[in-house]
Amino acid sequence: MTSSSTTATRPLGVGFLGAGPATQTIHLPTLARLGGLFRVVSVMDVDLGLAQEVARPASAKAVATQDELLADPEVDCVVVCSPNSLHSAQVIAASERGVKAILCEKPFATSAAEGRAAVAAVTSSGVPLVVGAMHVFDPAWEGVRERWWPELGDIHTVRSTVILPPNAASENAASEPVPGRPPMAPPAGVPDPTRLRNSILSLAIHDLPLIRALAGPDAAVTVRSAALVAPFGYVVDAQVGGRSVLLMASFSAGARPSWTVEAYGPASALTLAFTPSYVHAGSAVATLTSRGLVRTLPADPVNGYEAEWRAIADIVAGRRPAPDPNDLLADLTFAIEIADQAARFLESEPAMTTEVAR
Amino acid sequence: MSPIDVVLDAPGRWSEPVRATLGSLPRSFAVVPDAPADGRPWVAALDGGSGWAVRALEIAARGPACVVLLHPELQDPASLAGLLRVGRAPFVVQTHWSGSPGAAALASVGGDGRTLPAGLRVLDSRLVVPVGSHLGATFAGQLALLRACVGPVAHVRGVSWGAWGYCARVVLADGTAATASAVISDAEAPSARLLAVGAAAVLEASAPWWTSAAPAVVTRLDARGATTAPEVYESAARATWRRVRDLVAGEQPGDDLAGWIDDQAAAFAVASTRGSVTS
Repeated sequence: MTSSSTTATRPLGVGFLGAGPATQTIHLPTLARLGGLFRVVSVMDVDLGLAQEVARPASAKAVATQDELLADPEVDCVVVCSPNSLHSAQVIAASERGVKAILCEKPFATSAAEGRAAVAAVTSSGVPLVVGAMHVFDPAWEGVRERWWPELGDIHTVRSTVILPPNAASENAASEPVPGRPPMAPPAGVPDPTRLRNSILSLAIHDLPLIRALAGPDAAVTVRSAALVAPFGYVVDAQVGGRSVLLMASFSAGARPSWTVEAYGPASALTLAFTPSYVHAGSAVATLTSRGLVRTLPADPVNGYEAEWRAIADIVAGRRPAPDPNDLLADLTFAIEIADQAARFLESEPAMTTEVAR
Repeated sequence: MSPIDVVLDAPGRWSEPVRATLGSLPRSFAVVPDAPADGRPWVAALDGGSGWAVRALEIAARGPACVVLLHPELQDPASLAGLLRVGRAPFVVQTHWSGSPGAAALASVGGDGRTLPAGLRVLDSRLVVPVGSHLGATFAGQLALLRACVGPVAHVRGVSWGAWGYCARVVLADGTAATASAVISDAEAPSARLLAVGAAAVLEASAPWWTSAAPAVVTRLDARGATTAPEVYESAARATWRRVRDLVAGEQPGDDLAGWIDDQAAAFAVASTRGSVTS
């Protein structure tokens, strides 16, 4: 565990831009577990009624504009939980305001150009930016980096496999979200390549920083095939610097939640079995099989969400360096490159869409 | 009933595995040097090494009740056409995976008479195979496994292929899209996994290497919970030979050859464009 749990400084004031599901079911329940470190002071949403409903249990203010929230002197940390298309502009606005830290839900931009602008803003302002890709902060992944990295050897294959029940079930297990949110399925008329791109940038992106680290941080990406799995999911076969990467995700009402990242080399294999999204079921379990030995890092009670918030507390307190913005940008462009290539593949082979047979 | 005589095609690489397997079926089979002269039914165990198609024709002409083709290497499909034209005994093809008792167990957990969940979204077959495995033969064996589990593959839409293994997009005869991949690694025990994600149910299966009696695990998950098929501690190799026994006894029809030739032809077509036909 980090040292943040013993800090005696005043709780950092947190302001949310966006009061949707991520705020309600991920961050607010997480902050409720970290009361000594953070205090929710303001919730902004263009739907002021929603902002009020979400703010009330936290005894926080509700506002309807970004400017109001950023003008609030009690806001130390800004959490960007708005639609993806607004992320980069809000990161820039928060960094210009000079807050102590920004937590932006992934992706922090929807194009490389937007990403570069956001990184330029946080770099010039010196405001720490943390991207809410919780698996990056998962104690199991950090344990793998610290303890096993040299032993992984020559990884040639990486696989991310996500099989989850529909989000609503997980959200209701994590909180009591304000009813009336739109269904998970995208609105009719969204082209399949766009849906595929969105699926990758919403779901695969949790694992893509890990995959980039495993496959080679500067490796070139080639998507060899891609299929959209309706209503939300994907199968993507890619080559990253000569390594094989297979991304697969699907939802099923009958699913036993399963979220794994596997990496194989000729003589070693790593499995990270993550707990499902939303709920606080602890960290992943990491298993390394190498030279005939099977070793396991048992689950930590802290999951990636809690760990990322603890990291923010440590960054603000100067106990931990902020993520390198250029590394965040490299993670982002890696994800966008895969999503864009997958979408282009689907445009060229639309038959790869797997519609649900009912 | 006296044991069925088994004649090994040639004392080669599969002799020991065959004897080891038949050692667990001592009342069903006996390995003998030559075919019986008294007309009793006998079984030929044919090494699937290089040139097996030619030897298969010779052996089939000697009148066995069944030919067990052991782990056949890829052959030019043109060289196999003759086998389908001649009158011959049924062939049972032993591969690394397809004889697994788990293949038969898949349908048993469906609950609705179907192997795959309704509203299928993802069908994924994955193998982990040892370093040194021949990719083309591995792919053919995987197609045979899919045939045994969920039906034949009609065509291969694309394959990524490399020293690490392969990842193929395939389409079953009923139009179902699937991925079939293999990873080459000695890090963990060889295994085959199948994942089928439906709208309201998920089917998970895993099976060990063909010589292991560790059970295949087949589980169906749906809103009512999990249903696991009975776990049978029997290797794919032994289950294959039990099928041979039943086939010779006339209790079970079957001939794997035509299906195998289709599977290996698809694998041959892929492998031959990537320089991986010969070991």
